[in-house]
Amino acid sequence: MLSSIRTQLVIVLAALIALILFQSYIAHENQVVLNRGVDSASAAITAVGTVKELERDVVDLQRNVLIFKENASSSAITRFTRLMASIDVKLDTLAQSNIVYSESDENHVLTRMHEHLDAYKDNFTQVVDARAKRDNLVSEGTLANIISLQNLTTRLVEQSEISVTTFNEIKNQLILAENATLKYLQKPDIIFVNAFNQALRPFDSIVNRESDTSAERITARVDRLKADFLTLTQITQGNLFLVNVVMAGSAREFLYLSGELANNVSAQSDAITMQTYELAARTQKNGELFSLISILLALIAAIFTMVRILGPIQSITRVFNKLSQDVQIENIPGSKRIDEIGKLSRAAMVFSDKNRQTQKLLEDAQNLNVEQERLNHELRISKLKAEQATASKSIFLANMSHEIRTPMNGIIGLIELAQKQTLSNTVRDYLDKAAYSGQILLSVINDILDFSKIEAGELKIEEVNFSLHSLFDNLIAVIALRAKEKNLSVRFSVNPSLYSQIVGDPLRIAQIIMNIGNNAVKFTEQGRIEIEFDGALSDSGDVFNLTIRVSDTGIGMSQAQLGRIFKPFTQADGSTNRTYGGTGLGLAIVSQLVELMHGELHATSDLGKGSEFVITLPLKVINRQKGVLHQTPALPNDSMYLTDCALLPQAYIQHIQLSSQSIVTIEQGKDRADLPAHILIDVPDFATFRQNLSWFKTLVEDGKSVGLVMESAGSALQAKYASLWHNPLIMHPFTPVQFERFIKQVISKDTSEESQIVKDKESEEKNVFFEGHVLLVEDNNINQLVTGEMLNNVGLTFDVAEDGKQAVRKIENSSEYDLILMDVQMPVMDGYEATKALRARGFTDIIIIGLSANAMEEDKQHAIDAGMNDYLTKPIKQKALTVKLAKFLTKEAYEGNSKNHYHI
Amino acid sequence: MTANKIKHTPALVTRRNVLKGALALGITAGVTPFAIGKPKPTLKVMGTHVTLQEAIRQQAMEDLGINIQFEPGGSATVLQKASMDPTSFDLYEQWSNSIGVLWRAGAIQPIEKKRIGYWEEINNLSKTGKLTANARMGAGDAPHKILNIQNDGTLGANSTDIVSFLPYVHNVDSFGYDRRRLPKDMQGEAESWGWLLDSRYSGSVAIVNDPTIGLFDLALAAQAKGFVTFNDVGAMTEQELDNLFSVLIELMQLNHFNGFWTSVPESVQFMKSGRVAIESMFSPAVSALNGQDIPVTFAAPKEGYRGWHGVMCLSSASTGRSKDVAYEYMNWWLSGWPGAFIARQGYYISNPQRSAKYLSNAEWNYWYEGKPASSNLTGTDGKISVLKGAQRNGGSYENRFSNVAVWNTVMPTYEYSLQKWYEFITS
Repeated sequence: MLSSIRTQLVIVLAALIALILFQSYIAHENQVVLNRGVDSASAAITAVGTVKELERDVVDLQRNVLIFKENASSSAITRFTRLMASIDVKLDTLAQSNIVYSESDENHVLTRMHEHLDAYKDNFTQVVDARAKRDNLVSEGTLANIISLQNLTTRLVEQSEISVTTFNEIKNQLILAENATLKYLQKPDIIFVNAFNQALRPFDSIVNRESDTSAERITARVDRLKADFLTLTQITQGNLFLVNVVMAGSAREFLYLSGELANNVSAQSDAITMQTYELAARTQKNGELFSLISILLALIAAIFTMVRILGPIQSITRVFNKLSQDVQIENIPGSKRIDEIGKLSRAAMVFSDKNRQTQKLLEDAQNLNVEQERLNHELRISKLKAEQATASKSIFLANMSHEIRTPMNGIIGLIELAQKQTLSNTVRDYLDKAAYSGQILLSVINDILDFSKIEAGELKIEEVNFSLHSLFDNLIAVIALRAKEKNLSVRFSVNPSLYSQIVGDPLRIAQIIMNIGNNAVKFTEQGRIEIEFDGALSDSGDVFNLTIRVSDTGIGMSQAQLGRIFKPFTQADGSTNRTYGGTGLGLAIVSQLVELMHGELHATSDLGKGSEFVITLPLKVINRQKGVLHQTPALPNDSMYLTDCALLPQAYIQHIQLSSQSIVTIEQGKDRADLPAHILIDVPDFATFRQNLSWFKTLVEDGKSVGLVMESAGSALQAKYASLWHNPLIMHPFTPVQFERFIKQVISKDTSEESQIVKDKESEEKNVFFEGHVLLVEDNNINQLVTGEMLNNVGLTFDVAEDGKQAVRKIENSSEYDLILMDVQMPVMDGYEATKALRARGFTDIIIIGLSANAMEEDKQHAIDAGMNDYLTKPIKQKALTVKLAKFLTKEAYEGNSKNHYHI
Repeated sequence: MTANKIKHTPALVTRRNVLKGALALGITAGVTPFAIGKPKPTLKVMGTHVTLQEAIRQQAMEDLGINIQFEPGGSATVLQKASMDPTSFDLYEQWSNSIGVLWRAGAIQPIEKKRIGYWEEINNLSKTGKLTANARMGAGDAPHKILNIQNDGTLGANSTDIVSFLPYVHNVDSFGYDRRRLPKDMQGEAESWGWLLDSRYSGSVAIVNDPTIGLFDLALAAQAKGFVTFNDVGAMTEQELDNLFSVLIELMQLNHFNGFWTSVPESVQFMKSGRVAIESMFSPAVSALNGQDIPVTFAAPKEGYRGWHGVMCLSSASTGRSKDVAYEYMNWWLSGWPGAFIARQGYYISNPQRSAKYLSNAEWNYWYEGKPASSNLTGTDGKISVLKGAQRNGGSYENRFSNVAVWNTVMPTYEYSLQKWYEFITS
């Protein structure tokens, strides 16, 4: 606290202010003391004057008392009263004067003066009264009594009441008494009192001689005379005592006291003057001392400010200046101080430290930058490497595709050729299994390839116009085939209003649904798999949201498993792989494909109860299309649907305009006599079929058109149904097109196509033959054999060239080839170069179909760019080859189904 | 106040305490038979400060169950008033020199001895003028000369049944001096009235302002100094007065006299303030000064004392109940306590033995026997006025009253002396 400069400054300033205030106070006090001294001196002079006047007044009083005593002058009384008043005033003045009156005065001079004065006044009043009484007594009393006594005796003697002797004696005595009285009045002396008394003493004996009456009258007068004289003497004596003793004593004492007072006042005045001088001197000295102290303190404050504050502030300012100029400071002054300067110094220190830190940071940053650049460089290299690695991977994958597909082409092709031979059952069975294995291997390779492509971001989603119908066909063909092997029921339904013409990537959409559908089949041991297609235009009308729902009654998955399944190389759990096989890439590919198409994929599952996958894909459509079932006519009005539990989807039932009244159970139908001409009957199982077959046939025989709706069934059962029922029949799963045909058959009672459902499609293309001579450019001998055999199968002849160079030479030698099958990867000269060379040499018309194990899209483009007309991916299958050939060669005989154009 | 300190009369102390208690309880009626059913009678007492003390009044009111009014005043004033107007008082207390005036003026009536219960206890001082057989007869108005009312109505020494005053308080006076200021060469001398006029005390002398008292101090002093001689100092002639005053006036001109006091407090003040070193004094003033640690000695002059005798006179206007009360009060004065009270101020009572019961041995021995104080003695104000070991100057009661040079007296030349006195003090 005290270490703060602010506090120190405040303290110094406060001390200065206090000193100044104190000095002012002292100056003021000094002035007061001086004033008081001057006042006291003047008061003392006044007081002394007053006291002198008092003395004069008292002397005057005494003079007047004497005057009164002598002649009872009333003017003396007036003068006395005025003097008294004047003295009273003066005493009061003195009493109010500090210099005279002080409580501590033990002598109580003024009080005593007052007392004496009061006594003097009282006494004078008594004197005046007594004088009046005396005068009265003299005039009315004593002397009047003597005269009246004389008159009485004169009267008495005249009336002869008393003798003349008595009269004379009395007269003499009275003269003596009067004489004594007058003398006493002149000089109050006991002698005259005695004389008076002696003069009156003989009266008793004198009046005794006379009559009682006269004696009494005289004696009464004498007694009164005596009494009056006694009073006169008393008054005179008292007055004398009062004036001569008491009043004189009072006056004397009063004068003494006033003298004392004058002395006291003078002494006190002197003392006060002395005191004043001393005080003034002392105060002056003190004032000077304080001035000196103030000046010193001010100097100290100034020096303090200079040394402790301004100096350090200047040096710290210099420090800050240096710091701002980035000059390094080694030592900062005042940093050890604990006041504001100290804080400032420490702040400067911090500032300096920060400066250093900043510089260090700058260096660090620069170093880091270098490091960063190095890292970036490494990163670039790494990235380059990674890209190279990716490219290598792609190349590797491409090579893998080629290297695996090429032998696979040979294996699958040879197995296919072998299966066409007449074989023992055992061998055929082996071959079938080998073919199947080959297919699986191929699909695994495809999966890996697809995944790699997606991972590499090289998978392109096509946008082509395609028909959903072909998708449905392939879907059902594949999934139903698998499902049938496990005797699973597959229900396939499509929203009747769903557009059939869609813009998108049919290959990838099919891949998605196939994958999920195959999974459903794979993980379902019994029960049913339902596949529903739905779709609607978005609110804006430009996007068609295709929704595909695939549900099964399979093993299902836990939530944890559900969270994992879309990750690559993952299955629900480790055991899944052992039990069900697979690469674990299927759903990952699905997920990524959906993502690439900006769609959504939802999976829900109940462990042990089944799973449901819902895929929504935003696709483009050609507007104003009709629904998939628009060509399906409605059944005649009175048609009936006999079912216990409708196998036909509700939407389909509504589409063919079957009212709810026309739907009855089979038992009810049986009981009805008036069954209509067109009847649909559900056959949920073979038992129902066998039980009611005769009734069905009876109905047919009765001319009714009966269409059976069957639950999915295995191939064997299918064959059985077909052999026993030659009327319209539809079996789950069926496409909308199949349903349309079925309804049309029922309406027209047509049975001509009854077997087409169960007919083996492979057989459709058995007798396809082309005309022409083909050059097969293939370095692999097996593939030469396989492809050559496939060409033979379709009636084509061929030559073989081992590499591109040979091929070019052969073409140059003989340009009679209608078509060239050109492997793109060959030693000496690859297919692309050979094609370019051929095209360059003018062989522009000749059809060149590239053969490549590279399944990548860009390979195809590469092939087109090189001048090839088309492109086939190895392993080459008969069917695919036939289709390609059909594009370019004239068919010799073609019996294929037009509806089978939609091949994957 | 002092009552509680009285050791020898437990019965009376108890009675007083009971009365005090009764008063304290507010029971004022029934204290005396007279009070029953009547308003308390009021006794008017006129006199001087010597005996009209508040403590005495309170004690008397308490003891007697009456109201008492004291009217103290200067001696001349009260005398004038009393002689002119007897109705202004019931009892008048002063000293013997006032008796002549009062008696001649008919302001007082005779007091019947038979109504004074302790009359027989009153000692011979006031009856014969001689306390002891060998006592010196003081000049002037010795009390016995003015006590008895003669058959011719004059006052005389012959004993009758009636008296002009009740003898009660009396004392011998002299002068007091401050021992500290006693000039060195006088310290060995026997105390003498002459000191008052000694030039070594010039300017430090005060005299009581009363010709009937102070005049005798001065006369004795002048006589002791050999300035004048008197045929009879108790009856100075005009010539003698002229001689005396010519000396005194001469001294006055030399500022020998500092002041003339008119009251005991004033005399105390004079001495206390250092204004005087020696002065006419009354005993209470000495006690008061000693009580204030001012070492004043009340001199025992070798020429003898100036005696004075207190008189308690009955107003000629007093009759009936007020007269009865006045007699009660007079009897109370001789009942012991008042005598003891004034003894502590240095005064004596006419029947000392009764008061002895109210004094401790130490007090009695000190005040009456003139022996050294065996313990510290307290004055009437309760403060210590006599330190242990102190001894009263002048010896015992008997010793002192055997050596009265002159009594306070109204001389035949009184009026003349007044004239001369005036000349003296105003010179």
